[in-house]
Amino acid sequence: MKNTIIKTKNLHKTYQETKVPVHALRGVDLEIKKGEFTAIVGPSGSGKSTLLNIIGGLDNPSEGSIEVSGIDITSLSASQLIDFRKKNIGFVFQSYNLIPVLTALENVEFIMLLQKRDKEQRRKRAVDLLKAVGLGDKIHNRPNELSGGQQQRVAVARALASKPSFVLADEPTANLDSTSTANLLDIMENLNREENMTFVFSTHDQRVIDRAHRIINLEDGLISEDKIVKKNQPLSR
Amino acid sequence: MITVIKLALRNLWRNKRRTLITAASVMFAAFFAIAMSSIQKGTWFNTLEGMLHNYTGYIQVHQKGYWENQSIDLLMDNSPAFKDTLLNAPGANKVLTRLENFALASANNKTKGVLIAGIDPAQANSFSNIEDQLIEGRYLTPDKSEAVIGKDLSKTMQLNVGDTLVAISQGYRGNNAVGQYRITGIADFGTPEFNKQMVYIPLAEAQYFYAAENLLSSFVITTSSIDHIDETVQYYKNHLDTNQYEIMSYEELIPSIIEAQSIDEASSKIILYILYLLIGFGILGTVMMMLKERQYEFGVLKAIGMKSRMLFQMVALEILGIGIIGVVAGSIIALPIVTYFNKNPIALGDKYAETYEQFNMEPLIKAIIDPRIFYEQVVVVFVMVLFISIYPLFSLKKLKPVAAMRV
Repeated sequence: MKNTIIKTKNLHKTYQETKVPVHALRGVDLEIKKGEFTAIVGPSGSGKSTLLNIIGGLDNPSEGSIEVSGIDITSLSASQLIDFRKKNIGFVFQSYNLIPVLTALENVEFIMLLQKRDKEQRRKRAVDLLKAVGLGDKIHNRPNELSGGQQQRVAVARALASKPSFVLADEPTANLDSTSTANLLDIMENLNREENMTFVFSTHDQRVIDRAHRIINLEDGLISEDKIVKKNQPLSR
Repeated sequence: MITVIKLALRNLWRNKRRTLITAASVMFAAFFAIAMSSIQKGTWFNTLEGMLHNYTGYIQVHQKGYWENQSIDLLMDNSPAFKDTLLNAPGANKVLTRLENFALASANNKTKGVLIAGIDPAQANSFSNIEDQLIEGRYLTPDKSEAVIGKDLSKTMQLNVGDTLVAISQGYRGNNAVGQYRITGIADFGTPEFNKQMVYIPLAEAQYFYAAENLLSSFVITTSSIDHIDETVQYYKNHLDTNQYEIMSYEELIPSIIEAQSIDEASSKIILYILYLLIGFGILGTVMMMLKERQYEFGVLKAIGMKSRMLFQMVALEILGIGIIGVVAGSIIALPIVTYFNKNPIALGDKYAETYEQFNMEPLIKAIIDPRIFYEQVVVVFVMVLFISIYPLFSLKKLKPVAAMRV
C-alpha cells in the first residue's frame, strides 16, 4: 500500500487584500501518495497556485489542515518551515528561478550546501543529477548561458538535489517550447518511474496533462474532478 | 560563510553599474573627508609644531607662579641634579634650559618690545632647528653677545645681519638690564608672533643681561612622542615639590591655540558628518531599490530554504563591499593629493595671511599624512553600513516568499 505524503482537509484560503474577500480555496480535501505523478489543472484563478503554495509551506491556509509526510505544517514556525521545505520539498518554478550568479553545478549544489552536506558528497550528487537531466556538458555554465529548457532542467536537478519527499512544480513548462517541454517531461517521468519520485504539477498545459497519471481539476477553489488516468509503471529492477 | 561571501561578491559584479555608482558616491565622500581632515590637521599640526619646537616645548617646569606673572624675580637654579631628575622621567627626551623675559629693543630710530630668550645654542638647536630656520646670516656662538631675531622684527626695526640691537629691561631683583647684541642671523620661525618679537641670545649672555647668574626661568622638556606627555607630567608631579615648582604641559601653556584647534576641528566634523549623512541616504536609497528589484530572487531563495539570516548576511556583505570599494578608491585618490600638499604647502596671499596671523598661525596650508585619518574613514563607513543594514535586516525578515514571488 502506498504511503500518503500530502493530506489536506477542508482547506480554505481567503485573501482579504481589498474590501471584497477573495476565496481562493473553499474546502479542498486531497490526498497524494508516494510516487504519484499528479497534475492539478484548472483555469486561471481556480486556486492551483494557491493550493501548491500551501502544500509547499510557502503560504498558510485560512482554515483547514495540511499534513506533509505526517507533519501538520501549519503548526510550524517560519524558521521551522524553511527547514522543513529544505528537507522535504523540491520546487520547480515557472520562471526557472535559478540563482543568476551561480553556475548550473553551484545552483544544484546550493540547496545541499544549505543542508550542510559535505563538499564531496554534494559535488557528486550535483554532477550526477545534471548528467541525469542531460546537462553533463553544461555544469559550469551560468543561467544566462543556458536556454530556457536547459535552465528548467537545472531547476529540476536542483529540486531533486535535497532528496525531497516530493517535487512541486508550478507551471513548469509555461515558458518552454515543444521540444524542451517534451525533454523535461521525459526526465521527470523517468525520475518518477526509476526513483519513485512524487511530482505534483499545477498546469494548464495540455502537454503536461497528457503525461499525468492523475489529474485533479480545480474550479473556483474546489476540486471538481479527481481521476487516475494512468497507472504508475515502476521499472522492474 | 564562504558561499555567502561568494554570492555577495558575484552579486556586486552582476550589477556593475549600480555597484560602481554607489561606490563612487562613497569614494567621493571618503576622498573629501580624507583630504579635508588631512589639510586641516596638517595646518594645525604645522602651527603646533612651530610653537612647540620654537618656544613652548612639550612640558615646562618653572618656579611656582612664574607662568602667570612672567616675573623675572621668579627664577630657579640651573641645577644639574634637578636637570637629571627631569631627564630621568619616563618618556623624557631632552631638557633645555632657558632664561627669558620681555625687554625693550632699540635700533636705528625704532624701539619695540621683544622677548629675549637666553638659550644654550647647541641644545636649543637640537630641538628647535633654529639654524635651519635662518633665512640670512648664521647661528649663535655660545658666550658671545650675538642675537638671532625673527624676520618681521628685522623688517620693523630695519635690522640686518651685522647690525647691533640694544636692549633694556628690568633685571633680577630690581637690577637694571642693559645689553647690546650683534645680529648674526635672521630667521623665519614659522609662527607670526615669534617672527615679530623673538630675540635669541646665548644663555650666559641672558643671565648676564638680567643679572641672574646661574638662574633660569624655565626648564623645557621634550618627550620622545607627544603621546608620552601625560605620563611624563604625572612623573614630575609625583617626584617634584609642587609647592615650589609648576609643571605645565603644552596644552596648559598655549590653551587658546588648543581651544581654537578643537573648535575648528569640531566644526569640520559637523560638515563631514553632514556629508556622510547625505552619502548614507544615497546608499540607503540604492539598497532600498536593490531590495525591491531583487524581491523575487529573495523570495525564491527563501522558498528553496535559505534563511533570512543568511540572506541578510549576503546583502550586508554586498553593502559592505560597496563601502570598502568606495573607501579604498577614495583613499587611493586622496593619497597623492595629500602627499602633494604635504610636500608643497600652499602659502596664503596677504588677505588670508592676515586672518591666519590673527590666530597666530602660519599662513600656510599644509596636509599631514596620517594613517589614522584613513582608518577613521573605514570606521565611519563601517558604522554607516551597520546603520544602513538595519533596513534590509527587517525587510528580509518580513519578506514572505509567496508575496515576493507574486511581483
